[in-house]
Amino acid sequence: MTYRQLLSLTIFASLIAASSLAYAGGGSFKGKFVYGGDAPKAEALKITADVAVCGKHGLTDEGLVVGKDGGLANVILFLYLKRGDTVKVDPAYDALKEMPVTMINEKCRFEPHVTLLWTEQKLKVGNKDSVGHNTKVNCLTNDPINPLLPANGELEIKFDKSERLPCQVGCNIHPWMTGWLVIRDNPYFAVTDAEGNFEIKNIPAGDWQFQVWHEKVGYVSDVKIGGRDTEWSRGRVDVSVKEGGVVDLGSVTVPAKEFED
Amino acid sequence: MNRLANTCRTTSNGWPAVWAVAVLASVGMLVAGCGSPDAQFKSNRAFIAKSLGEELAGEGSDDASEARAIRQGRIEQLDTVNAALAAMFGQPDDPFVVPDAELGVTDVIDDALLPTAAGAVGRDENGYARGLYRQHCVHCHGVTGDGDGPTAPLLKRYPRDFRMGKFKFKRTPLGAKPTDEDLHKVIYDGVAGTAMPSFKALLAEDEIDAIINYVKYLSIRGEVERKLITELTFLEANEEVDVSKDMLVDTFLADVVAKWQQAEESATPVPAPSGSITDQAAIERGKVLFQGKTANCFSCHGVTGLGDGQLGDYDDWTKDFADWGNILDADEKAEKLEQYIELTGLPPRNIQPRNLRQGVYRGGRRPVDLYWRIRNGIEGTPMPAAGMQQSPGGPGLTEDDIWDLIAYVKHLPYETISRPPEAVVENLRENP
Amino acid sequence: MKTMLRRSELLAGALLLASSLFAAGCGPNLPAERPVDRELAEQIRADISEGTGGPAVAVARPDPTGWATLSGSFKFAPGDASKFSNPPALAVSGDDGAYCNRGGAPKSQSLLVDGEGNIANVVIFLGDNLSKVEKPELWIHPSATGSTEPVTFDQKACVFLSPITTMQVSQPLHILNSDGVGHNTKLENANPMSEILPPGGKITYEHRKEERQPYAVSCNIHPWMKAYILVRNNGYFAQTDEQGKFKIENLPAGVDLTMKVWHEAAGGFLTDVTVNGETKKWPKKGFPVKLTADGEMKLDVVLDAGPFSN
Repeated sequence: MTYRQLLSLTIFASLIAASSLAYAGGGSFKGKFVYGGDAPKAEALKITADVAVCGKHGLTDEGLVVGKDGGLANVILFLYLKRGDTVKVDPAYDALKEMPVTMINEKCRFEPHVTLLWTEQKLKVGNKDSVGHNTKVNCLTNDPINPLLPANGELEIKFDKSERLPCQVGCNIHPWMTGWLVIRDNPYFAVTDAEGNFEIKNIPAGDWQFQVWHEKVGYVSDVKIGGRDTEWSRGRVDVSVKEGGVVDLGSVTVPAKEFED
Repeated sequence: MNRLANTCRTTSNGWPAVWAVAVLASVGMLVAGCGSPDAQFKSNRAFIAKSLGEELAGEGSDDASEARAIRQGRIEQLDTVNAALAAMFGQPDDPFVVPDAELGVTDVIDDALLPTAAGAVGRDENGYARGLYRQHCVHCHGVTGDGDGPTAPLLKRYPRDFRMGKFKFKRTPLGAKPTDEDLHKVIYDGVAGTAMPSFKALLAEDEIDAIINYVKYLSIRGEVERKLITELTFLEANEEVDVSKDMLVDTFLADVVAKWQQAEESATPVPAPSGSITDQAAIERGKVLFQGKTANCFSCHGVTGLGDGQLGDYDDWTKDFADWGNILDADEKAEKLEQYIELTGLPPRNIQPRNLRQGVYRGGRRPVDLYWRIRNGIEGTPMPAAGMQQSPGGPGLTEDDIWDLIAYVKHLPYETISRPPEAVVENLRENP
Repeated sequence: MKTMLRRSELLAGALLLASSLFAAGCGPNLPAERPVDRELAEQIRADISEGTGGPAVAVARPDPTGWATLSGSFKFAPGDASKFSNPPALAVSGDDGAYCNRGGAPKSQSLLVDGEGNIANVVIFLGDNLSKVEKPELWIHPSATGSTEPVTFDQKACVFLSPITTMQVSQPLHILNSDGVGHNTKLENANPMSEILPPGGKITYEHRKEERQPYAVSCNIHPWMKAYILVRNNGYFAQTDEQGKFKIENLPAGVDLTMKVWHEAAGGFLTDVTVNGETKKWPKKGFPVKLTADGEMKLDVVLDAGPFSN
């Protein structure tokens, strides 16, 4: 079981626990992203440092990960808010505040590849490898960090400000290592799993826009839904949430050409 | 331009005198004041290209007329950005900062000092210097503070571009601004091992103050420019840029100014070492740490401290446009390189981990300087902040470990790499 | 040697001749460096210096000499007139489809052109910021300020009844729903509103500040519904009637003014025009006019159909 599975399980469990205590309202938003083309072969990464430790994991480029049935992993969705706008977070999320989010250097990659962080939460950066890593995060708004993490080292970091784009995470010692950190001042975000699925729960009823982003595409704006070309301006998709309702995007295909450089 | 810049690099060494004459000639022209147009700040073209390049190239849409409209819209937005910058900061001959009392801009930038550094070189009616930045700094750091003065391509280490708001040698952690004292040290002592000279013999204290002030001004202007350009990426090409006081002063300028205001208080305190740092035991402990996986120094600086570990990396200023080390596709890399050189005139160069055996320390050779470098990392470079123990005995370094590392680093220039057999003392006399 | 000079030129260039050099060697994707729009810079500086304790840069302008009228008309060239004479039907869908299609599918109102090519709903307004002038009484005629007359914005048969509304900030906006179905009226301005109006519903909305161009009004329930509202601090605005005619009275005379012209179907401000027989390119930020006291300037404008679509 991977860390992400473990993490999402814990979150899920805590959500259930929380929802039985506190009032949980709003509606859900879900869907599945699909890669519009033949699944590409994952490219092997060039391991240039600490080859003895990092070379044995068969690391591949995680910029484009296509799973079973063409499911597109690592598509990031987050609630789009204009400057100054806020959203009332459903109490179902309260329990999350106490749960740090982990971003681990493991097997010379970042686990998870995409980390979702609510500013109420702390980020725990760890190193499970036998080699040292530095974790360099440069964001648009928050101060940069670049701690050196010794083997089994761990560090808790708090980011105060919401970011309007995912921040790139890197390790200078192992230049192939890339991860993404999404920092938002609300927990209405998701990243698609290995099958391309996502679900965001307890969104307050109302008309919202979610921004859709992928590291190889940027804003995901040209997609096909039900075979029809659909344009999401700057990756923004309108989502009208009803109390107790589920907005299901269905299957959204991102054409292969969007991933070309 | 690309080819010229390269030629420039390869032939330049043979022609320093000619080059210097050329520079002197143009400075001379300035002093004379030949009635030419006012100096203007340059736009941050590399950042614009990175943020909006596709749309500005007319590739914002598959539909040609729509793509043209997008391009035109972006150009107009950028005109607004330039006008907003001129409104907030004036021009090189007439620098200005919105004197917002609530914001406390004047705590950070003393506008009374700006004329001493800004504008054309000369003297005021009382004989005090004017235009010191243009006299002493501009040929490397550029009028805009973009590190792209005429001398820049000739230097092995490019001059600092102030516009990103990042400074390397300071007592404050990553993300924090340097204190005035940090900037003072760089100007006063220079940066050893680079072209940045010491100005201690050239400038009076109040003149150094004026330059510190002007560097902060250029840096704040540059950071606000970046924020404005970034803001455009969140707008459609046909949307109007919000240039209200709310946005320009209370959001963008306030963000940057607040950081400078917090610089003093965010300085990292330096605890005294518990023993001597010239002590052999401390040096030995430092060596073990240096070569170990907790401090991890060796992975970049090399086991022997020759700076021959990780060599393929770039600094943040260079990576601002593209992550050169991680572009694997050769064609893409070539195209990006060509663009970057055309935009900046400076081919990207690797950042190299310091060779610690030379005894040359960029940010200062005092133990306290090394303490801040190791403890906080060096902003804008791959040098990370030390991983400190989060709980006693946990993984990470202690304060004493850092002093031991300093002891070893200070000792490294005197340490031999190989271990020659110890000299045999011959003709040893018994009981002399 | 040649390169040396190139670099020294760059020094001279950066210091002395920045703009001309950049025009010569520009980056791969970028247009050449453009000179700063000083007028706009001064306007922004005046705006942001307000209340900062700094020296607000007074916009040094002569005083107006009286009042004058600007009038005129907008039309397409005869050959272009027929292109837009038949507005397309809107794609009506959703649960309310049957109701909304009762009287036939609603037609697009974005571009209304009569048989002679006269264009309705062109918005023309004064772009100058009059809040900084020294003697406002000479700039703003009593008839062009402080109106509190309510403006009605209604929806019926699943369309907004007025595709474009022009009003002053001081006027309350009465939003009505005279339809048999609920509407969700969404104002996309600086203080956005999105509210459900049941059949027969009415709400009053007050603008907090002026907008620099018309903003969109939509209805999430019926995505084809679209209208625009221009809200300004003063009453110096007009929209063309069905014959394409407009008139703005009591504008300050004897001073340089900037007028902006906007049309929904052109996607914003209009630039390619023929005014009184003379082909012109208006700047997007507005075109200059100077009026004579007690006079009337007439602008008969033929628009390039290129940017329009309905």
